[in-house]
Amino acid sequence: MSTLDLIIGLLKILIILAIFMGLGAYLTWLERKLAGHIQGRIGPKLVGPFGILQPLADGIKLLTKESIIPSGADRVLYYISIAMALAPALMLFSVIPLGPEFTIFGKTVKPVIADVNIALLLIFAFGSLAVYGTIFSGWASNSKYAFLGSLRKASVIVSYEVVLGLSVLGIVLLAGSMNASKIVKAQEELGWFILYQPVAFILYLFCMLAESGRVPFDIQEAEAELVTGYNVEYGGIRFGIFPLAEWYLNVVALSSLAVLLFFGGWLGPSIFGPISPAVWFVLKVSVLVFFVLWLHWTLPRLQARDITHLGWKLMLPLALLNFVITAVISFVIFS
Amino acid sequence: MVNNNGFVLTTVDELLSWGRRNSLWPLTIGLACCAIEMMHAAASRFDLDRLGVIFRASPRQADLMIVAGTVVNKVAPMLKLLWEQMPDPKWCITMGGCASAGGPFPTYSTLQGMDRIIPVDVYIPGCPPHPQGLLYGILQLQKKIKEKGVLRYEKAFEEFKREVERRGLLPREVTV
Amino acid sequence: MQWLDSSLSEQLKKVFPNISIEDGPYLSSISIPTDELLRFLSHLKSEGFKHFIDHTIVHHQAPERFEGIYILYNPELNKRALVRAFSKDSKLPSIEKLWPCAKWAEREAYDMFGVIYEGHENLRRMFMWEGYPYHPLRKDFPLSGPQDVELPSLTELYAGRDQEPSHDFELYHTKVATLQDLEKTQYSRLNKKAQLMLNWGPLHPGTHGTIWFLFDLDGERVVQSDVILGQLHRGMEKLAENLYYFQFLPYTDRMDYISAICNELAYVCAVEKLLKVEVPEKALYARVMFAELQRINSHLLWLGTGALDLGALTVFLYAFREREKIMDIIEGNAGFRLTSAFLRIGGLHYDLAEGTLDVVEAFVKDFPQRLSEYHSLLTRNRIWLRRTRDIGVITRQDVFDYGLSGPVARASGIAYDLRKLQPYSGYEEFEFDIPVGEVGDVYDRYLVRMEEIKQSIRIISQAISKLKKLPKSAPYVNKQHPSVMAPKEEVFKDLQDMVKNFRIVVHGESAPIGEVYSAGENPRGELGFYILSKGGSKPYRLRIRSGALYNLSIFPKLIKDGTIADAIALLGSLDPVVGETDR
Repeated sequence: MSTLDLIIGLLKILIILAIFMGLGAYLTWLERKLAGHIQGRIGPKLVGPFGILQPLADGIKLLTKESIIPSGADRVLYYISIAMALAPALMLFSVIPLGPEFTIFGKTVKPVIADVNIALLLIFAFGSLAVYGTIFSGWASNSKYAFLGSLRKASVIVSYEVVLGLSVLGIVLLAGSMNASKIVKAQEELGWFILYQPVAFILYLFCMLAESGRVPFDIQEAEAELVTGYNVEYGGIRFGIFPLAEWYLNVVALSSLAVLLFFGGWLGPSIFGPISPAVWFVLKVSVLVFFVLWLHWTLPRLQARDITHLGWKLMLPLALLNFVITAVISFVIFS
Repeated sequence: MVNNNGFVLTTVDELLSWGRRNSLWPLTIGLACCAIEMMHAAASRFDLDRLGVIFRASPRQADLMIVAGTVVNKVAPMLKLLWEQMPDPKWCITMGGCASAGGPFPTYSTLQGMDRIIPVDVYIPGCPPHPQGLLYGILQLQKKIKEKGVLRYEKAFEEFKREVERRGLLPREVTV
Repeated sequence: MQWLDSSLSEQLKKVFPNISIEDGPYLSSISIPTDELLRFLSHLKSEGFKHFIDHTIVHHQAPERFEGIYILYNPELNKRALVRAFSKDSKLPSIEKLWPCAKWAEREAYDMFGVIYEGHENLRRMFMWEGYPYHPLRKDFPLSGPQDVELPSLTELYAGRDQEPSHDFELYHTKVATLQDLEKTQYSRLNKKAQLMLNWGPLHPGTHGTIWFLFDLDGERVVQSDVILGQLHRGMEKLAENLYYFQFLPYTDRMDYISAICNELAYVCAVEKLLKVEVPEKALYARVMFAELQRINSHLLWLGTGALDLGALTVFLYAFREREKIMDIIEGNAGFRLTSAFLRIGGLHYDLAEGTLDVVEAFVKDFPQRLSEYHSLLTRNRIWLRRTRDIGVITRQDVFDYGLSGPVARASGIAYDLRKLQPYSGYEEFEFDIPVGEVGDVYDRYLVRMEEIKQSIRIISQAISKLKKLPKSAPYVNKQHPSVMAPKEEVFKDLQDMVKNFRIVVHGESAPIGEVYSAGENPRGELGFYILSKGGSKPYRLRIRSGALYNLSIFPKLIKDGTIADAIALLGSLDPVVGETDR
């Protein structure tokens, strides 16, 4: 690896970090604004034009709050769990390509930090790791509400990780690779995979909502039941990180993945000139993110036991069936 | 914190105070009638979210305590506990006559004013106040933060105790 | 609805020769020696008086003794019975075995009067904390309690003061409870059996105010639970004994603060019965119209918060949009949004404002579309069904045993609606149906309330057409009656009215001797006022029978073996308001 590669790699990391951390913060604004308009309100308005400075004010305030650790809390775990929540959510972006490779100054650059063959595997691994952040925080807080919340979240993750993995296996079969860029390339020839795998997409969507703790699966922080769930004892920016990681970064990462897997990634008619792929990618991701935000304010939430029932008894068999059928059909066609 | 000479410091202070006053997250304490008007203030017509005010259920994540409703003696220690669980800097608004001074309930079970257990920044009169009253109260608090800056609570409390001692105002049976 | 009359009581006299029946001017009651009380009540229960309405105590000062009052209801005959028995050495037998909800009524009586109930399962303080030394509703206890502690205003101290301390340094009744006191209160209620003891409330976003639930949890399954009330106990009944009749009216607003006008209507009807006041037609219809508007308002709040508890924030905000409209109508007439104090003894406070009927008509026209919007958001929503169906099933027997009323009783198939059974304020002239459920689960209670909103709309449109027929100058208050204050605008013109108002404001209404029990159908069930007058302008005892309290009393039974998520759905469907349960 040359020095140039190293620099490019570092630059990529910086850019992606900057984009997605900022994006996560501004998604809070978007969500509040959107929810406001859906509910006949306005949402943030007075802090800057259109309330555009609201996330900044929130950030400043959260950063300068006093740091309180509840007595009886496990100090080490209390802090580790914050990192455990944020790190996997950010790592997800390392294997998600944001566009096709392009040439700049005679150097071919892939807009992805790690273009590995096992991208999908990595994503699911990171997704599973995120659950430790939740569980640790619930345990370390020494609070019953936090504890119950983290247990609930764990039960959701356990049921939905499996389905999430199985639901995209069909795609892997179709594309013949676990590399995200190659999956997109396969769609260039075959057409968007949503046409082949509609069931898988619906399953994936459910799992995405469950993973990111969104309605109707937001039982881990059901406010009316558990106050704010596992993060009840976290204040200031230490609290701010949890929803940032879970509600926003996870949603963006999983939406991007869904776009790559089902909606042909950056593919689309090149009507925007050279930046066309990026525009398409952003557009598709925004539509999905919008959909998730929209759901969040409208639906009631399910019960813990219903969620596990749904996961294990309905979605898992469906995912398996989908996988088997895809395997048989593609075997017949391709051989 | 308050620096009268250093230009940079005051600007930083200004920025901090700007951030804090524009992102006041109140703790939801709905005790009685005023809670309904508080909900109305947050709902479609008055929409506290415009000011960046969103309700948090956990005291650790709140900056502002809006005491909405009658505080009775039984619930007072819990309110005090919640106040102590809130991280600095923090403020308190009493909404309505009951929380401010006992209101129409001069009875054996009612606390005659929230300020007997925690210091209060803004009192909103009314029984219950109109949601506009609450909005005005929050705007007043923002003004107060802008003008007076932010003191850490312990520091303020130390100052308060010194002040009390200096003036000899300490009553017979009070533990501060 | 009538009281147990002499034909029936003759039969009772054969079985219990010691009872004596007194026919008062307002109601007839049965007195029984304390030894036979338990036997007599169980006999009454088997005779059909199975619906428990209320139990309370009256403290007679000389000679020092307590009188237990039991009010029962017979659904077949549509008759009520009022049984009274004097305590022996401040002791009464507990009737918890007959009616489980009496457990709470007896706890309250013990807390407030210090009456000991023999055979009670766990006789603890209901509203005050363990370790509180007094029994406040006793006649020798002053309204604001013996004042012995100093509690200064911290804010004023902090601001510094150069002058002498103001009222903030006056002596105060008692030190606030300490956390240790509250811990003691908690541990006296439940013995931990399972893994985890969860304090759900009192300051919790999901508990609809300040109700304090104790859950003994096994995982998320509730093994046993109890409810601690009193986090909003403001001493309403004590206040009522110290105020004139008309002065207590604004306090009724602050009980069930979501349905203020319905409370006022129930209270005003009780006092009017006692003072024998006739109410002009216009006031009657306007009262009904506003009470029904308030009922819609209250049910909308229930819908919004119930949906919010289950996660649907948007429904909450949509419901509040409609609430604002109703509040505007009320504000336009009464001058106040929430605690309006619009009704007066003998009529209304103000005449209907200009254009009120048009506004209400427009609202009535528009509202059904909004209602269908709510239906489309929830009624067929799979998740909503999943969360509410077969949760917290209340059987018909439970309704009687726990003294349930209002939509909670009706959802279980008991058509107990006082507007039909005992029409007050001219409800007999209106046409409406009583929606009744079949299963009695959370979903049924949801449907019943939604249908009630529809029926309220029907009543309101009838009230509008009735009011439109009346001339504009029709009287809205019966000012001929000596106990009724004349309207404000006439007071300034007429000397006689002014003198009368002056006299009432200073000396109060003079009520005859007697006792009254009158109840209104509130959005939260039967709100009854038992007023015992010994002459004079203040009630000797005013007992508030709270529908929300009795509806809540079934909660520990229903939630057993449920989860916390069920608890929130169940609590939303019982819809208690702490102002009324704690008073």
